[in-house]
Amino acid sequence: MGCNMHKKFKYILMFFLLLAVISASACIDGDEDGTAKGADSEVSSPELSVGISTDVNNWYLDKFPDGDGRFVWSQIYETLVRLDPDLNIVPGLAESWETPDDGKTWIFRLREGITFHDGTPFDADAVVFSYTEQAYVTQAVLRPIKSVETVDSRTVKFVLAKPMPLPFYLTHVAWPIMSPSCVDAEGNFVSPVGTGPFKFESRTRDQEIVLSKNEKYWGTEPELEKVTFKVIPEASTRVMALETGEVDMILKVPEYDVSRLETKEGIEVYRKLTTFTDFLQFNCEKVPFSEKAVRQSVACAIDTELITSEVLKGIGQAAKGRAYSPVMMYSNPELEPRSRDLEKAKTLLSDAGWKDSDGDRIVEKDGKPLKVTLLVSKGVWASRHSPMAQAIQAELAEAGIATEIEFLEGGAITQLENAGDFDMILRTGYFVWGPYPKHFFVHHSMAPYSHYSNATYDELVNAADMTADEDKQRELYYALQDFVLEEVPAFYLVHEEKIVAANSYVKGYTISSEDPWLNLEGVYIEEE
Amino acid sequence: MTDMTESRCINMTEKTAEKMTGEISEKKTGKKAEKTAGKMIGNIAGIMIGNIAGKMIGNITRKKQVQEFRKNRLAVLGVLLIAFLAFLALFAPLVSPHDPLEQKLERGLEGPSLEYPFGTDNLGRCIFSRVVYGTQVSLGIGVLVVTATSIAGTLLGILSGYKGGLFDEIVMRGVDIVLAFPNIILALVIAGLLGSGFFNVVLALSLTQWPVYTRLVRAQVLSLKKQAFVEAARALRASNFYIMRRHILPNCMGSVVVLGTLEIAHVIIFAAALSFLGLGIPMPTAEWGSMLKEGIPYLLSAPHLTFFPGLMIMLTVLAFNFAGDGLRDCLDTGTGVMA
Amino acid sequence: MWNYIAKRLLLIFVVIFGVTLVTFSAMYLAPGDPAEVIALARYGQDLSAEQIEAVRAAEGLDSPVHIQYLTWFEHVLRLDFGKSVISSDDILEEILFRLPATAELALASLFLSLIIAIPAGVLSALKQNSLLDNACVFTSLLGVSIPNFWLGLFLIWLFALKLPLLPSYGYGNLENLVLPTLTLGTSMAAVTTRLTRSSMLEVLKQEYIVAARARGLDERSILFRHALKNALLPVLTFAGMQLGYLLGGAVIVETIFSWPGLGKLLVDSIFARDFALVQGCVLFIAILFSLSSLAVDILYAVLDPRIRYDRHD
Repeated sequence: MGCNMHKKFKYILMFFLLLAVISASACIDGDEDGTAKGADSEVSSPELSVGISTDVNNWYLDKFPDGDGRFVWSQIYETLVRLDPDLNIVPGLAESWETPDDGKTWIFRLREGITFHDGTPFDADAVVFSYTEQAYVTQAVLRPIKSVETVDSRTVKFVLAKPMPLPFYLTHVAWPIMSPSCVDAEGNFVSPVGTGPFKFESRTRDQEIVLSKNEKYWGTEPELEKVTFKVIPEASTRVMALETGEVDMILKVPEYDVSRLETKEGIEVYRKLTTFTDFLQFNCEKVPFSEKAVRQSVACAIDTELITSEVLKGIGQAAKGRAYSPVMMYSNPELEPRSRDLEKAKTLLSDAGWKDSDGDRIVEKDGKPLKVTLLVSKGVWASRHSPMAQAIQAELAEAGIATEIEFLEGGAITQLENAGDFDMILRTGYFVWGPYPKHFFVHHSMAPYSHYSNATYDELVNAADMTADEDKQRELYYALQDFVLEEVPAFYLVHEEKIVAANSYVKGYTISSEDPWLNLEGVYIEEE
Repeated sequence: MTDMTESRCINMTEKTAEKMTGEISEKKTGKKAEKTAGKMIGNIAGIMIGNIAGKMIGNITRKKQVQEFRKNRLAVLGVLLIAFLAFLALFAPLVSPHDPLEQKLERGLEGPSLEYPFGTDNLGRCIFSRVVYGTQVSLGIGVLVVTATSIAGTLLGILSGYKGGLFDEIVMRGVDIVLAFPNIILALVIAGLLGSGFFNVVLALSLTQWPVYTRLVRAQVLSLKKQAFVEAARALRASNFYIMRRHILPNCMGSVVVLGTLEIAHVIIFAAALSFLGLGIPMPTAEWGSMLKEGIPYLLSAPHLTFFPGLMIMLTVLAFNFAGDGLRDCLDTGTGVMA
Repeated sequence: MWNYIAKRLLLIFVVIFGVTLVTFSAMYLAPGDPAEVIALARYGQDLSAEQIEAVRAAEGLDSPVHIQYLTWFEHVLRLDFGKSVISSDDILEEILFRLPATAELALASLFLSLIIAIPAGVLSALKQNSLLDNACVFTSLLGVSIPNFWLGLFLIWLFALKLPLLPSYGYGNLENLVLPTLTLGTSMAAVTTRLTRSSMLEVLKQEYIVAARARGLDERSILFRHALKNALLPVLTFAGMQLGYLLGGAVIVETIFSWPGLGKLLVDSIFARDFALVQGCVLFIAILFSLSSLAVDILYAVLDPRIRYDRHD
């Protein structure tokens, strides 16, 4: 019957559809399988794979990459001045420098015989190219640069509008020296070309970045032939990847995994105190944190020692309000930091008129309860900041302050900060160039989003910024640390430790206090 | 997934409706319809909660159906589980040994003990107490969303099916548009726009779940309209409102109750998923989805952080699925609901 | 039938138009000043009011809502979804870049669910009320009730941590696909098993099967030549319609396994408050979903004319 024929046709059609689906998925799988086998066959050469949390979203000097992109940059690009693992300034691409007029003019003498990855010579022109107007460094921080001039092919002169300790700034991997051949004739970026120990090989978006050894590296010859950075956004997944051997090394190990990894056979954990200090940034232009008493109350209510020892499992050092990590220059070792004093926190609030009159355990003033929002970044630091934020929330609740935690991506936080539409932000340290205490600028009323304005503070920062005299600087920076502790434009929580973990066949790694660099010099893979 | 099978079944019946719709809308159009509509919403809502619920139970209590239901062991188990969960929710303060928000930082990540039956989380909070309090949140969201959406969805469905015409067209296109977004995705985006919070979650889920009822009820109304008893009532010049109230609504209630029960299961999973992604209930409220999320970093060292909240979600959802399945079998509503 | 298809096509335009309206108004009502957000991404932190106003004028954000909608709609029609306000990447490019990963996961999960569900459902129906049937019914109910985020974590715990056999994250190799597919595929299998079972039971009750039995046809041929074919039709169409479920599930599964697909893009952009990107993702997903339901409906109408004809004409 015709009807039957029709039906048969339908089933044949159905069958083919199903077949198409199956073969499509099989096809995809087949391809993947092929690449996997290719990768396995090269195991013998010395390679290192490193788990990082973000892909590199920019390679050019117009913008510093977000997240962990810096660790990849630090393999490809180098800076004029470097820091050793203990943050002492050492020569980088410049072999020496001098300032004839106490910090307004800086003359750098460049190393000889260095070439970029593509063979173009490293010279004064490259330095000038790297500090052109479009460079991020010039836009963001080194606005006082009046000019960068070539004196001869090996000498560069920086002229500044005001005295600055320029070499400190130039240690940061955010302003490296790039080859003018990074861009084409129209000035469009082509590919990353630097002088570093590894050169760019390939990138698979959101997955991995492959670097290969720079055979002509001017410094210590790298032991590794290839370094692969694998993008693994979640901290806990990164740890798993290390444990299962999917990667050889991971950065930003979450604190709660450290003790377990430390006792685990076959895994080595490297830790060192860094220049970063987590802090609570207040919006001092908006009620309630426009009131000093409320900020001080927060500072009294939070037990940074308990948070460090329990939430962060004893990793890092409780800051107790001290702005500067002990590894920073001019960090005052004699500073008397705060300790938790819940009674004082309550007294401060009630003296300022914040009282709990309706018995809901939240204090009010003029009928308005003390409710604040704490912004926490969802990004790289979330695994550490999420439990910290909750501990802070609970401690503030004891003092009568109700806190709501909101998780957002970094960019979204910047938006709110820009609009002044926030109460508190849990931040990791920033504005840090090596050990140099530039960070204080963060609360300066002229800083773009300080949300704090205090004439005394501004004067202290300006004075410290304008002098090159070390004793004077020390005195001023000590005064600033006292000031921050007392006035609480921000409450400093924990001096952070940098944590790197690697399988124990990865040898020769030395951890540095400096955050943005991953120094793979001397790292090798031990053959079994 | 419920709505998809339904949409299939209902799409078919929709066609049946088209011709009829034309006839009816010609007869009873315009202002009169609108007037009654307003009155009806109030009335029907009242009836639903009182009268009709009674009727429904009356239906179920018919001996044979009760026996049927009892025979279905899974359904009985489901109802018992629901009763138990409701008990936990209502008496959470009595059942839980600790304040669910109280942190003892120095006692973090402890395994189960007498003091902490399910152990403690990373901040030293009692997981047992948090799990118990989580019942309030999950059941609360489930019941609120299902109550709101089933009333609104049923009303729209009845009006749409009975009135037909432009109203029907508009409502059904609204349904189509909402269903054009994969369920959880629309809820996710709405929650993302509104920000986290209990009522935002309820709102986000309500906005996405109502069409499920509208489709189901409308299809039933269309077939009921052809039934002899409705025709008879119409011949006796009963008012539209009377017909809807006395003949249509009671006959739809069975499937709405079945669907509602299964929907509670869905809504609870969706709400937990939103919190799991960080768009649901804000911290530090004890909520199963966010507890799971918080526990991920400790998956290896302290799996009890993720085990218990997950188990609770599963048990709760299972309970409602068992009960809903059993209800459907014994009422034999033929709703085509499957989940 | 052609009538039906024509009507269905017309309807899809109405729905897609409605979808654009919903997405646009949702994003229009989103918190924050879009001009400021764009200016921030373009000019960095030191923003002046003039810069913001310049952006507002340049982007047409100062015109009335309906004009803004029409402009936006016109761009969408030209497949121009705009640019991400955070990274300023082209949104459609970004979506298309992520699409293969989601497609791969969805297809693999669909395949897995079918090879589990069809045999299980059929066997279950054939041996109705047997131990096997009860086990199937119970397991599938259990499967429906396990939240896939919990299942995913459990699979990670078991296969990636306890017995490190499979990777817990990543994309690209076959072994990366296993755990996400298991997570998404098994929960879908539970649904499909139930459908197969009930569809099969339905068919077995039909007159022609009863008649065939009465005629003494051998049970195998009844099963394969009559019952199975008819029972699988709704199952396969349903599988096609599962796309919505897959896309929704993918949001969660992709987040758990760091799978670089569309779902993860959506979640990430929500947290980044990149509303232009959220808008693009949602619109794309909704259109994709609508079109696939359309395709399934038409296919169904073609394959099984019976259903349409006796009701429609």
